Formats: sequence, C-alpha cells, structure tokens
Amino acid sequence: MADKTSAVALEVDLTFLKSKRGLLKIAEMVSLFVAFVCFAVASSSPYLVATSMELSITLALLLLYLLKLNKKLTAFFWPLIDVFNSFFAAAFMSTVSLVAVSMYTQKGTLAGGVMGLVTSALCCLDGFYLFKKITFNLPTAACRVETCDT
Amino acid sequence: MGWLTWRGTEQSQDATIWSYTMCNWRHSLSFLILLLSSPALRMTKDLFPDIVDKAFIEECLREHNAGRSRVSPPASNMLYMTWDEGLAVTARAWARKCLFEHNIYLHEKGKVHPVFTTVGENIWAGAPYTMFSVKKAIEDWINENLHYDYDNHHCKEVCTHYTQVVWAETYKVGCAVQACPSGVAKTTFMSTPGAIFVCNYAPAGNYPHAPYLNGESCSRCGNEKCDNKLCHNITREEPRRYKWNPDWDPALPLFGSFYKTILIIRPLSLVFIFSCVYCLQRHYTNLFAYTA
Repeated sequence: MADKTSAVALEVDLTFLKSKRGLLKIAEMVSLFVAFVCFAVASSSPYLVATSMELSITLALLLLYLLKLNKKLTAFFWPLIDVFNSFFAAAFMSTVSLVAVSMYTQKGTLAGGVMGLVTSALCCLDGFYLFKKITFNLPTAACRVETCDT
Repeated sequence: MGWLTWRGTEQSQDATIWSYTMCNWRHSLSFLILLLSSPALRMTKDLFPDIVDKAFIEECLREHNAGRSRVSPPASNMLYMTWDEGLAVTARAWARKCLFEHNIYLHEKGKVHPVFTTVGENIWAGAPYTMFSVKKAIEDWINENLHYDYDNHHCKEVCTHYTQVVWAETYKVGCAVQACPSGVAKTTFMSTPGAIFVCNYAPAGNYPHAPYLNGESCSRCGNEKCDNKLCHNITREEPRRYKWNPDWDPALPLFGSFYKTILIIRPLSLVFIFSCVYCLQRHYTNLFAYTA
C-alpha cells in the first residue's frame, strides 16, 4: 500500500523537461556545472561556493517542478518565487562572474567567469519568460487555480 | 561613608567578575571557531615562526650572508642580502600549498612581487617536523657547492640552489616555513607530516653565466662600504613596506570578506524571496500563472 501511494506521490512530470522553461532550467544547470568545473580546476573557492549554491538551488527548483511538488506545497506561489529567484540569481551570478573575470590569475577562473555570465543571461531570460505569464489580479473565470492549461 | 565605600567595592567587584566571565566566554568562543575552522593553521602557528618573527628573519639573513661571504674562489662583487617583506609574503603564500614544486606564478609580472620584475626561488622540504631548522635548510643549499665547478660554470649534480644563494646581484630575500600535517606533496615522504621552507630572491639569479665575479673581495663594490667580504649600501638595504599580498594566496579567499559575503547573501536572499512572495500572496489573492 505504502509503496503504491509513494509511487503515485512521486509522479514525474516529464513534459516539463520538454517545455521551454524546463529546457531553460537544464541549460542553466549545464552552464553552472561548466562554470563549477572551471572554478574547481583553478581551485578558486569563493567562486566555487557561489556556483555550487546556485547549482543546488536550481536543482531544487527543477526537482520541485519535475516531481509536481509545486502542486502539493501550495503555501507558496511557486511561479513568483521562481521569478524572484531567477532575477536574484542573475544579479548574483553576474556580480560574482564580473569579479572573477576582472581579478583572475588563472585561466580556469576566467573561463568560469564567462560561463557565469552566460548563466546569468539564461536566468534573466527564464525569469522574464515566466513573469510574463503571471497575472496579479485579473482572474479568468475559466481558471482560478494556480496552474491551468491554456 | 564606610558603608557606601563597601557597597561601591562590592559593585565594582561584581562588575569585574562579570566582565571576566564575559571575556572568558568570548575567548573560548573565538578559540572554538579557530579550532573548528583551521586546525592546521593553529598547529602551524605553534610549531614554526611566522615571517614577521625577528629571530627567524635574523637567522635567515645570517645564514644566507654567511654563505655568500665564504664563497670560494672569493667574489669581488657580492652584495649584502637583506630581508624583503614582499618576497616573504609570496614565500608564505606558496609554502601554504604544501607542494614541493616551484611557484607557478614565478615568471608572471606582478604575481610574486609588487616592485621587482624578476624573482628567484629555493624550496626545501623535510619530515618529520624536527628535521627542519633554518640553518640546516640553508646549509643544504649551500653544500651543493661541492657539485659546482666555478671555473667551467658546471654542475655535476643539482646546484642551482647554491648558485641562487650566492648570486652576486641578488640583494633581497624573503623566506617562510609552513607545517604540512598531511605531508608535503610531490616528495618521497608525502605521507608523513613535514615542513616546507621557501625562500624567494630578487632580483632573480641563475642566468646562464657564473653567479659572481672572481677577484679580491669587495674589489668591484665601487665606492660602497665593505664588510665581511660583502658590499653594503644603506639605500639598497633599507626595509620597504608594500601592504601587498598575492591574489593567489590560498589563505586569502577563506578569510576574505568576499567569501563570507557570498556565503551569507545567497541563503539570506532565499529567505527574503520566500517572505516577499508570502506577503504578495496575501495582498494579491488572485495570483496565478499560465504554465502550460
């Protein structure tokens, strides 16, 4: 019984992976991972910490959508959290990357910084794309729930 | 009056005890933080002298200059060597890596010294810790003169450490010693806790010619003072302060404010985002998104 319910509870939303936002999230993770590897090669620890934190946050959001947890944990309006987080991540990564690019001593740090800038561009795109889809106080009669298919 | 005084004393006594415990508590807390964050660093501080240690500096200079003044055949243009803060800071930063290899930034301009453009380097490593003494390390380098033939400028075995120590035009040195609890990498005794001793020299030596000119001692010093077979010059020997640190120093990012800011800002931003969204949800009750 328990197995059955947990299997149902952890339903995987594979269509999200194929959607534009899902692809953007995966692209973010890939560029972050490349930046992480670059910083790891150059062993520049502050940048390494920044990218690993960003990587884990992006992974958490991806898992949230993938496992449809956003529909279970309804205390928060997840799309807005995603938007805010994307914009903050963009600002954070661009700051860290600019520091890395301007103060690099090893080529790995420079490469990581460039990848960090790519990540921040992707984050900006992700945040903007999702923000356009959010309406604040104009509920349509057809869909009053948090998410609805159009 | 007497009563008042007594009261006063008691109060002040109370205050003293309180501040004492406060201090003690703070002290133990900072001790705990230090202990948690860097056990290796604490050990090093107890084991070996720092680069600002007067006795350590004196001994490094004494050994180097002794080696320089007793060269054979005698040198005519050998300069007296003095300490340089910048070189010592670089030596310390490289020693912290516990790696028995030359500094990879040695030929990059501005990476190893704020003023000097060419810097030389000697490295000594030994295990266990008791193997190390400044005298022994520098003597090991100077003893390479057995393999060096001045007349043909030829080394039978490794003798570049020796030629750097007795390089006539090199007049600044900075050394640092570091304890490596998990061993010095790239040595034959990698698994035993050991010490690494790094000395940086400026201007660099070991160009493809003899380290010094042979002749009567001090005969090529010009109008400089001669003392113990070495040329002295007050302006050249003056200690310089730089307020400089190499940006690749492994100890820097860990304790730098940049590192701390990164560690604090990102988790804090998540808290901020969640509370912001929570407030917005309360305000806009009809929030929704078209997520297809």
